[in-house]
Amino acid sequence: MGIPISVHNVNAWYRNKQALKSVSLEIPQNSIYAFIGPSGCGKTTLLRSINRLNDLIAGFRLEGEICVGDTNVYRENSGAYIQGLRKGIGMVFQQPNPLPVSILQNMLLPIREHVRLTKSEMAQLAVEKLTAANIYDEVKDRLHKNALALSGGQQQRLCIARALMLEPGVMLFDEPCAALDPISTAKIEELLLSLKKDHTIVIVTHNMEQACRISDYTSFFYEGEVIESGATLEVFRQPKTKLMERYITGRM
Amino acid sequence: MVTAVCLFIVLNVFNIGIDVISWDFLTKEPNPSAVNADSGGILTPMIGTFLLTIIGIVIALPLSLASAVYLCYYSKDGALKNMITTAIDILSGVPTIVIALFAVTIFTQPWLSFLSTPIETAGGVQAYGKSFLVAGITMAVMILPFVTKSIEQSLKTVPDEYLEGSLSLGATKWRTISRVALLSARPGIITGAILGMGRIIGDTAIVWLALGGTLRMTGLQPWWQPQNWLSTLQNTGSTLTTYIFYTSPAGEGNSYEVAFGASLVLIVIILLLNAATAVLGGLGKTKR
Repeated sequence: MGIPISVHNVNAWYRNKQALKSVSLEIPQNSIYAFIGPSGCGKTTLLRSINRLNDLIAGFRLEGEICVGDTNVYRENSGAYIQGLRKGIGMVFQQPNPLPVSILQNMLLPIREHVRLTKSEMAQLAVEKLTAANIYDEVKDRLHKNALALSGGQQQRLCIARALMLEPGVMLFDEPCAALDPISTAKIEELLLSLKKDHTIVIVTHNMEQACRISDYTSFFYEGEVIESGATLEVFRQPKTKLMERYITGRM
Repeated sequence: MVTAVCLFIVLNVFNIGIDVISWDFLTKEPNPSAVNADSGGILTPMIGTFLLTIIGIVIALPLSLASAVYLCYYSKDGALKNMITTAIDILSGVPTIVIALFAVTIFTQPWLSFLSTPIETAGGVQAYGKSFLVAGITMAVMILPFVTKSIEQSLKTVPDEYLEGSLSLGATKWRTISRVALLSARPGIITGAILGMGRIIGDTAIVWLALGGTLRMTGLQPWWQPQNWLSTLQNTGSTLTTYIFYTSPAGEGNSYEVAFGASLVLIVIILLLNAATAVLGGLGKTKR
């Protein structure tokens, strides 16, 4: 099942530069929620704060509350707590990032260290998730071949399948189609729609048609603030603010 | 111009050296004899080169890996990191003869005599301070900065997406480094190790001071029997480079064609190593 996310009054800084300014929003479970806005507006910062990936950046600081389900993700700072948190939150990046090992090894990477399963059970789980990510049929004959031999779109779907291995309640997508051609993009979008029934999906995108096509809710970010949020069709049809209107009509 | 000089040297070495290369030359131990036909071959110098290379890289590689991982992923910018990188830079600039001199000073301490052999002197028991073990350790020190730096460089080229991808799957930092970073930097690490081995093979100064000036193995005989291996390692010997020195007109052999024969073997070994580097490094690149 998907898990709802609630962002409450979040401020964030990279050293002295404020990247997020009192951001609040509610992401309902089993929905696709799109973050849109011009580059540097803070949408990726918020996305990467949900699984605390920004912790790696020296000088990053965050105030406020981000709750995934009932868990405030910034409650504790211990390594074990953060690892546990990340296991429940899948993430897919702009650049497909399979490791230079076989497809099957890529799939087993997340579960090897903390799931006790026999070899055949692990392989079976991998097949199940590859199927869920609509890629199994394309790779079933070369599970032991290097994952980097796949096309960009296939690599990205492999990464999605890999993230599914831990059965996360939340899936984060950071411009997942920015490096892909239109056909691969269509396949990923289709996949996202099918993943919605078991996961809550948050997607950062620069492609407004994409946000329109697949998302249920949209937030428009500008200079670290959320300018406008709501059901996607409503905010695109009748933007309440001038800023949002100018952005979606491409006059910013 | 460079190519011409290179060709001139290689062809000359080949031309003079090829005449002495024979099965006997490659498989017989050197033998002190006034008669050239009885002077044996380069078996023990080749073994010596091999032993030093293995000992050196086996010691240097784990240390270099640990230092590079520390510098890349654990150290914070500041005084300590500066100190370490400066030390590495300085060590890499120290001539090998100076490192060898230090080795002789340190490894003649009596409590280190297990690495070579204890000897009685007027001033009491001392360590002889020359052996395969001593020279191997010294070689490791010599290549440490070089190998560390090349591993650090290859770790820096590991894409952030790999690391973030692993972390976002809930992997620990250590797991991410040991599995993901070292895995994708592997071609660079192998290249660094091989280049380090090349430097050991080519070094003469350390061999001369820390391995001793004997052409033959001086441990318990026969040196090739397993029960005598430890003794062989604790005693002196030679490598191809010192063999070349001793058989050249500068040494006592004054049989330059034999020296050229050994040079030819040495060059072939180094060329093979370079080829291995190119192949392994290239494999890594096409996989990326």
